[in-house]
Amino acid sequence: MRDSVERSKTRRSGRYASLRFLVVGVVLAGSLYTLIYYPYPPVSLPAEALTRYLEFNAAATASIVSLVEDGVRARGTVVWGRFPLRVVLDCAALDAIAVFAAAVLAFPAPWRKTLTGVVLGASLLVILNLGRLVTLYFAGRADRELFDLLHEEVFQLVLVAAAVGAFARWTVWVQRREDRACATS
Amino acid sequence: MRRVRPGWSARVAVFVLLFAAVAWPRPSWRVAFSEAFCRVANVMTRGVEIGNGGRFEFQAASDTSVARSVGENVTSDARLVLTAAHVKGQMVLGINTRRDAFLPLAIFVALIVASPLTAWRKVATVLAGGLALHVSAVVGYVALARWTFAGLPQPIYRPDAWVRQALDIVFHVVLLPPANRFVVPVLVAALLVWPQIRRHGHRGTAPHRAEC
Repeated sequence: MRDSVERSKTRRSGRYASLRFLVVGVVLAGSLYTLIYYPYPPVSLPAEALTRYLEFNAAATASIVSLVEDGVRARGTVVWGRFPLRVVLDCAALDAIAVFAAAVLAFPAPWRKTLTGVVLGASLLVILNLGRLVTLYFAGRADRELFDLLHEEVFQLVLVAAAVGAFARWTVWVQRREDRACATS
Repeated sequence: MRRVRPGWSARVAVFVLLFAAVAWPRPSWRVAFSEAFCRVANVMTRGVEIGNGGRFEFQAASDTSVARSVGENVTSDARLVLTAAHVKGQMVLGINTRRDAFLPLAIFVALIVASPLTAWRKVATVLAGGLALHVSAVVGYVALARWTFAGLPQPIYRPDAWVRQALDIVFHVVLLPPANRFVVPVLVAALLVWPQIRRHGHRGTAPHRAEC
């Protein structure tokens, strides 16, 4: 009788933990999305910050592409070359980063590991996104239909899958460290 | 969370293969889905009016007109045609039903098929979740129509300031970000599968801190 009560308590607390993680994650993701995609006035600090980030992406893409193609440079948020490419907010992987960060922040873990997870995961997604932009440039140069397919479907899915995979890997790392800490305590 | 079991690798492989098979670009599938989606969406939204006589209709594109319009970021395979009583003309918005409805559905179905549910539960979950995703896609397009009408100079739809602000936020935060189309089916699948796994098979543990 006592065992079944204990098991029922464990199941209830597990269910609450899952629900809490989900609710907090969704609220955080929604908040981050609102921060990123809110229609700010053009001359405002958030709008300027986002524009600078897009310009960084364009400049980094142009730098990488110019290693193999001469005359490619970035002006503002546009990569000018044989296939002009404008980097807009949808191309900056900020949505995937927001989802990843929300999941990590909602997961119960020590704050140091949470901070490490957010920084490393966001950096990984930024690097992946640069790879996406470079690939899109060359795809656009080669074949417009290939560009459309990669741009609208493949890379969006790849980034979301990368965010999910990075979160899963981070949770494994957190749990392993905690298990090791328990074993040595 | 427990270490990933070998069984999960097989499930991931099933998901990837199934999704790749279903989502592989086929123009005939795209046109067929666009037509079917538009028909069903028109039935669902028949009689819906926005503001002062604002109406909208889904129209599938022919297989020769799937293209990107000038100034658009994505290709479109269907049209959302906006009209209003007492106003001449119409406004046409290109929409991408493959990206907004087909691919989320394909992701969801592949996730459920790869999940450790029984066959009957998989069928029920696919039906329930598929319906939810379809409805959310149609609701998204209705919100797009509302937002567009609210921004027109003609006095067709003049919502209160807070409604206008809410529509702005819904458009920019929910409809625009492309990743939402791929995150939402994963979330819906997790919401539907996780409780069933916990109730009928304890395959994993809830997010928790290890307790010594």
